Amino acid sequence: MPLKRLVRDGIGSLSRRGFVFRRDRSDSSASAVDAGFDPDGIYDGDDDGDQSSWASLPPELLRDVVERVEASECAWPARKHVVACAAVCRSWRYVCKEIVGMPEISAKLTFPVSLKQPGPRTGPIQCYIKRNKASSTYRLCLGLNTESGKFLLAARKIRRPTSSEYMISLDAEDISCNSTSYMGKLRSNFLGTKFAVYDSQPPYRGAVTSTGRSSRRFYSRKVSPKVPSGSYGIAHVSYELNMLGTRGPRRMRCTMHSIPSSSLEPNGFVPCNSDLPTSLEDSFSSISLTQSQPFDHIGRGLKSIDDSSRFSGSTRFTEVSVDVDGKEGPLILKNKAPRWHEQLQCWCLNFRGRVTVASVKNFQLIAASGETADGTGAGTSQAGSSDHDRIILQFGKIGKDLFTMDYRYPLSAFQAFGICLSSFDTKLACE
Amino acid sequence: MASTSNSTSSKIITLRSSDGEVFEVEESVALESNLIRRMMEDDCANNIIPLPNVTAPIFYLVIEHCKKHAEMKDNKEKKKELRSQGEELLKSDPHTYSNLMEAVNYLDIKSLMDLTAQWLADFLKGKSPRLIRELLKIKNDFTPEEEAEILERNRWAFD
Repeated sequence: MPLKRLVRDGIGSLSRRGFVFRRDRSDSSASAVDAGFDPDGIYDGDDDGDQSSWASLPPELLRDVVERVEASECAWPARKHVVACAAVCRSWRYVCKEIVGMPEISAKLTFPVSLKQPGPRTGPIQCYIKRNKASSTYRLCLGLNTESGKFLLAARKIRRPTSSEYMISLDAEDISCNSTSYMGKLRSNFLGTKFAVYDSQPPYRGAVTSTGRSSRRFYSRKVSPKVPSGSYGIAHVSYELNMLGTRGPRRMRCTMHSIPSSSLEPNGFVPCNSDLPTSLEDSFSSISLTQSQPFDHIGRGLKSIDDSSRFSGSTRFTEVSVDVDGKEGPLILKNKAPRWHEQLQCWCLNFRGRVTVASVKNFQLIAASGETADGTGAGTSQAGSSDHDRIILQFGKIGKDLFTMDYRYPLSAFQAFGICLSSFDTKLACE
Repeated sequence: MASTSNSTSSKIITLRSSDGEVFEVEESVALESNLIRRMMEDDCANNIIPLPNVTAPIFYLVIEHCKKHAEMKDNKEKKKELRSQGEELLKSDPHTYSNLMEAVNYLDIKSLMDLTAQWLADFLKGKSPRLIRELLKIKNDFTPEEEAEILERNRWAFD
């Protein structure tokens, strides 16, 4: 009997690998079918045998290969290798995105979508902004070396009769809201004291995907290049006149509508759109409000249905908000108050060497809720580095038309850039 | 077919590929495979061991690589030779290469898993998606809209 079978069964129980691999194989083909793809229709090669061998390569193997590609280079421009792998086919894209992960954990920016995902929890991502006064443009680049950093985002200021707008784009050559590279914008009021940051996409996916039909419509809009994107108000920045009139430091206050204040709590998170704007991976993953407790899910689910009905109504500007009534209000950031330095006779903030030129534009943002915790005045000097850890966004001048921008969780590069741009804008009332 | 010379007193293991071919392999070589090792530890290996996921040509290739890998230890020349053979196979017959990777994975041969994955990873670096598809004969299963979108977004990375 059964010896043969015994052996065979033996393989089964001894070697999970073999079975995992088989199951994965059928899974991947199943998802391809789910996604509505006709393999015969798209296939343009000439040998089905060759084709299937790579398509069915067990995900764990592909993952191993991509991990090697990914791990070899953590800096630009070599990170484009993994971007290239992600564009080979669906299964490769899925694996690449999974391995690359979110900047929140990896502290790396790889795909454009990472610009709208929260920065690292462990420490800031260091960037710099180059201003071109002649063309009213701003370039955000990654890195310390201000010569060769990876280009991230560009913005162009447009003066309107009653306000100014800063269009933000992935493409420095093509900055307009009709561009496929359009990411969002910053808009000021007449006085330049209040700003709103608009995202071209709804900031988190629950807001859209739960609607079924209307989300499909949204999806197809994104794909066709000519149609302008939506505008979702995700943040407000306000500058207040300070007690000393025009001479003293500004007071800033940022309300981040798409980030709950609870995101800064130990198990907090930012609901976010983990995929490319087109939600290319819809067929692979379910709605991505992961990490939350089941209870949260229900609450958010209901909330997102509300939101989505608003999104589907064709308002050009949609306010996105988290549940402000509960304890989950939006995250509010305020600038750290500078201290008057008697000897230097100026206002001082400790930028840890990242800012070298005094400017009214320089600022450090901390969570407003942390305000009471660090006390007033006396406590700040001894708090030292732990105090510095809580700075979520820091911006300051290092040269003529050159500025540093260091941001971290829970802000994204896009949000941080928007806030920094507001600091560039002339403030009639504050200066 | 691939019976090895049993010059030493090394035990011979008999294996059968999915297409029914029988291989006799020196124990030392066979034990590179953790799958076979586990089966032997559990005493399942007194008879012919079936390998339902591996065809004869691929298994032959695996054995060949295993032997070379055993020889190459501390030998830079051999290492280079093995690597260039691997790369050659990847270029000339990517289909077989992917089968080799799967077989090595199934047989759980750690050293070869590392090598084949690393060769492929190095091969991919610096190549465009289109070139990778072409060289490895991978089907482009994105819709034209998706591909346009990806290319558009990738410009950002390749700037």
